[in-house]
Amino acid sequence: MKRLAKGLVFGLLAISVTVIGLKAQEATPPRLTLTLKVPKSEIKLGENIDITIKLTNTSQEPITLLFGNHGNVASFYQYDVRNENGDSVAEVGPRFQQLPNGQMLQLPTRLPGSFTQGAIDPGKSVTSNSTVSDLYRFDHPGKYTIRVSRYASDTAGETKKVYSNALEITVIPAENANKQQ
Amino acid sequence: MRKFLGNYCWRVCPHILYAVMLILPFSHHNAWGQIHPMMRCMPWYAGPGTITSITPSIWPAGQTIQVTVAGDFPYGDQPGCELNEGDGVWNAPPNAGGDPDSLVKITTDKDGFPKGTFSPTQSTLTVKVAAKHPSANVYLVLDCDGCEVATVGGPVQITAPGPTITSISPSAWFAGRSYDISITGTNFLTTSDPGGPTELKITGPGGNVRISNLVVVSATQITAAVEPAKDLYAGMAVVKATNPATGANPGSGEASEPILPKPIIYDQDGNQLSGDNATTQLVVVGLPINLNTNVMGPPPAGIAITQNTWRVGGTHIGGYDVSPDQSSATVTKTDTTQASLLTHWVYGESGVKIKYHYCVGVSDLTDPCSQDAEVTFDISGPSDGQPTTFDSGLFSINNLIVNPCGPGDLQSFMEYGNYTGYVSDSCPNMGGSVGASGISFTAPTTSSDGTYSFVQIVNHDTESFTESGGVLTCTTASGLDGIYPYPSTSGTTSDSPNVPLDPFMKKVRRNFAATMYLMWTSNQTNSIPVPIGYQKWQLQETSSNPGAPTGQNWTDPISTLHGPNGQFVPVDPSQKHYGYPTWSLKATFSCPTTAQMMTELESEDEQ
Repeated sequence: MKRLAKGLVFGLLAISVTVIGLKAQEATPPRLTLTLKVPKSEIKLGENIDITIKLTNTSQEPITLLFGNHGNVASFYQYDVRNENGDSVAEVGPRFQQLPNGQMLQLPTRLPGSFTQGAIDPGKSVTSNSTVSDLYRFDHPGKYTIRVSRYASDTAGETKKVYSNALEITVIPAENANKQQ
Repeated sequence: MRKFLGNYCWRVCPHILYAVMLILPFSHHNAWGQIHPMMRCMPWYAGPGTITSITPSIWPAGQTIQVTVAGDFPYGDQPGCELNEGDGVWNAPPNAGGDPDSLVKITTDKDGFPKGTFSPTQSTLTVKVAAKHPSANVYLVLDCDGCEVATVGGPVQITAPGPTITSISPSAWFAGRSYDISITGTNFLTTSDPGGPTELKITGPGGNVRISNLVVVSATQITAAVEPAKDLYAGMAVVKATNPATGANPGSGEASEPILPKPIIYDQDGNQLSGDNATTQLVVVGLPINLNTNVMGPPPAGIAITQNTWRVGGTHIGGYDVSPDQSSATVTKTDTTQASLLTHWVYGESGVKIKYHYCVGVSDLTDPCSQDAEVTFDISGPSDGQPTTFDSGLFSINNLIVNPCGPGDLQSFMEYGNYTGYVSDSCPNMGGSVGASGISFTAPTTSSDGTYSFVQIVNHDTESFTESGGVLTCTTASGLDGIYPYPSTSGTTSDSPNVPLDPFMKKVRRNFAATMYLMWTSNQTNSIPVPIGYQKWQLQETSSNPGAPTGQNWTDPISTLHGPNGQFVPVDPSQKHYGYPTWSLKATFSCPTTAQMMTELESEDEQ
């Protein structure tokens, strides 16, 4: 009986802790929201795919973060790009440019950019532009899903992330686009 | 006086024989051929009858009226007999000193017999009242021949028509202006007409209309000069032409004339801003200027407003509209074609005027546009504050954590400033430190009842990477920097351009120039950001890597230019083209396009 009683006590305690934990988790509203937008959801194969990332401070305090871009891609965000099968889309990887004399030049591993530190005031937003096609291979027609996340803060060891909505785009064959035009 | 029987002289006709005996010696007519073909009417007994009613009892001047006369005519005084002297319509009974009314005629046939139907108790006559007949009472007199007493009926009221107005030219008047007008109508009395001339009175909506030089040209035209009071409001003026009761055509006729009000400018709370007592309005740049006018409502009947025109002094804009993806920022022109105005001033200035007028579609108005309503504004900025610019002068070779996300996997950057150790796009957050920025801008700290923000436009940006095979040059097209607005911490923003350094590179250069705009937005609702001023800045840096193509041994960066390029430039009207940040493109990096690279890679694979 004692064991049973102890077990019950621990069980109830565990449940209570879990409930309290869940409540505590629920009680912490997200401080940031991420929203993705795309000017057009149907894009011709080979065209740049530009997205807008809107980061909004939904808390009551200013949130200081790092912002920047490298090339046409916004920094400090993680990009998850998947094809119609749900597979991750390959990054472009090492890139080269052929000079008129036939020689190949390698592009920098990352492209030039800027860093800045700034704060988003409560209720305010900062928007960044990203040409995701500079990073990922949208190399065949089909549906692609893009999702963006970033850490909830730039503090070392931060594990919480903020996720955007899943943005679906359709890459159409260039010839179809021509016909439609 | 002789009486002759008509169709219905039946009461006396039994005495035909007697009548014939009497008539021959006394008749003015010496032959039967001159007598009415039916019968001549002779009094059986000369004496007065009675007229009990005359219907209608009102005879409008200028009309032909069928009149029913009821009564008793036992003595041959029925109206069917030939009219002779004394019979007819009089202006007063004969025994009261009356005279025959020459302006009212009883219609007769060629033999002088009244036209109508006749009996001893009720007959009909047709009378024609001259148009010029004034209003008056008249009497029907049937003079009994030989009895010395007339049968008198009445009185009957003759009514003369008053004046009417059919049109007025011009067909609408602006309040506060003078017009030579022409009124067309009927029955106007000139000075030579009895009781003339016709009088004119005009009552405007909310005030009077002054009349001068009134001339009744004819019965159908009046000319005058009119001046509607300047404070009349939109509506109809009543134009009234009156003929005196004692004259011909007494009475009055009215017409409505649209009054077009003098424009007045109001603020959105309905306070009048323009006019005689107007004072200079004090406003601030970026605040919404909402103005309305008194012609916001429906115009007077029959009038269409064809054009609203606002003229706004100073540099003003309709709005600052940033597209959802920040790919463009448009500054719309103020719409000056509506009855209301919404605009924002960009620069401070004194004595700036806003004027408004409207035009109407009235073809006979020489000037179909109103005069101007005017308001004067003194526009001030939030303060004279300007940002503090800090140039760290620091060029660093820094290491940032990159794929595959381990602390030791570093990517080198040549940087204007000192940012180190930050996460890459896909690695766990490893933390880092923020050192000095390359350049920072701090907004004024003075209270401004608003907020500051920064917008950066990249003017030019060129990176060149020297490799063993040659030089790869990448450029960034001029446009909006990658984020909008530039985020600021405690009113400060910064920028630290950097260039990645790879082992295969021998030398890296960057030549960068941008303009950072300091924007201010009032706390007042619907205000827009306006520039306080701008600061151009630049950097040119170079670093070499003797360890290329496999190692990295980058030299300390050398900068030939860095920091602010000139002084902070407060905006004012003299810098209209530079004061406001607008862009049509993002600052797009191109080096080269992905499609090009993909094609090249595919060709390599095929080979």
